Amino acid sequence: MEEGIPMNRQIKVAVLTMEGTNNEVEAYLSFKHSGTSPEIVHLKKLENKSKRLEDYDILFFPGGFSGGDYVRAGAIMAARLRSTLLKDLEKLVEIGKPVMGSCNGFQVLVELGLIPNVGGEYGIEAALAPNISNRFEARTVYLKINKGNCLFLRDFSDGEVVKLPIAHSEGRFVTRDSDILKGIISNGMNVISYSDEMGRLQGYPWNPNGSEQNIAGLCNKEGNVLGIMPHPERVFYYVTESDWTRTEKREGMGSRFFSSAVSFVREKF
Amino acid sequence: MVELRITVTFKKTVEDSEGSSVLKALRLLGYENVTDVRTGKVYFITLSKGNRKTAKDFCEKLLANPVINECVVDE
Repeated sequence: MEEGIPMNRQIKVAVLTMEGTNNEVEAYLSFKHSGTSPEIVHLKKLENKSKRLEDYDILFFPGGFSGGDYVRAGAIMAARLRSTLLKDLEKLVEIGKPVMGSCNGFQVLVELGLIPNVGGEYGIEAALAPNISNRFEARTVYLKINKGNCLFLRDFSDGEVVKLPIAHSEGRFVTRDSDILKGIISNGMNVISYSDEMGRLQGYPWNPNGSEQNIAGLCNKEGNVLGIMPHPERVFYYVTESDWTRTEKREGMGSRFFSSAVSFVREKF
Repeated sequence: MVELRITVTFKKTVEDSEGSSVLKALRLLGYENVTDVRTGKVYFITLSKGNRKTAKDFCEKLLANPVINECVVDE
């Protein structure tokens, strides 16, 4: 049987929400304008089995303040998912379907242990701690792409520098120990790094939160789970980029994350 | 009825940026003898039944991320 989804079959995307998430509409529209059939799915629908994760081709965790960001950012959503849906999530990841989380979604993925997962046992190996600046950092940042095998970066070039918006107060990526960090680096999982406009890794304000190794986005070893602190879904079109009046009409910087995932699913599933 | 008091703090090795801001503010207020501030959260939890061992589960499953936090249950 030939691999890939026929063009007449819509790719189904679940944009997962609960109380406090607030980027689901941007994510929904980004996937819709990428030619898929997205759906905003409340966590309760999965918990009560009226929706099933296995029915979707792509899973997206949007940004926001899930569970009010109480306890820690992403902790409440992760704890609920862990108690009822962890096996389903692990299965989705293991069969290679694309899973992505931006900002609060990244925090949820890390709290769940789905990334970095250097050890392969879905243990908690990292955290997104409060920014060193102790401020809510909301602005545009430069990011250097080191695409590796990350499926969400297929439509980028290696070494390319892009600009995306950030908006977070808990984005400082820290690892449990030096072995985890070494594993991330040696496996090329640190696919997106805070940089200056030339792609050089620098300290604050280029690195807005003090992340280890300037890590802004992280893919698992297999390349199908991406967590990223910036918000690609907020710049699907170039007119929502901060300097759009000084640039020529083109695709938004964020759109390629979505087109990459869509082309991957069309080819592989 | 069991009453629990659980304190979650950052590990000593983890930069506590809120603590650093409070330290700076206190020194600006003239308290120059303040040399360190660490912050944390205290949870007061009441159980209808059960025992204090449950508190360890609360720490592991929700209240603390073992990478950055310490979770202490008052005896």
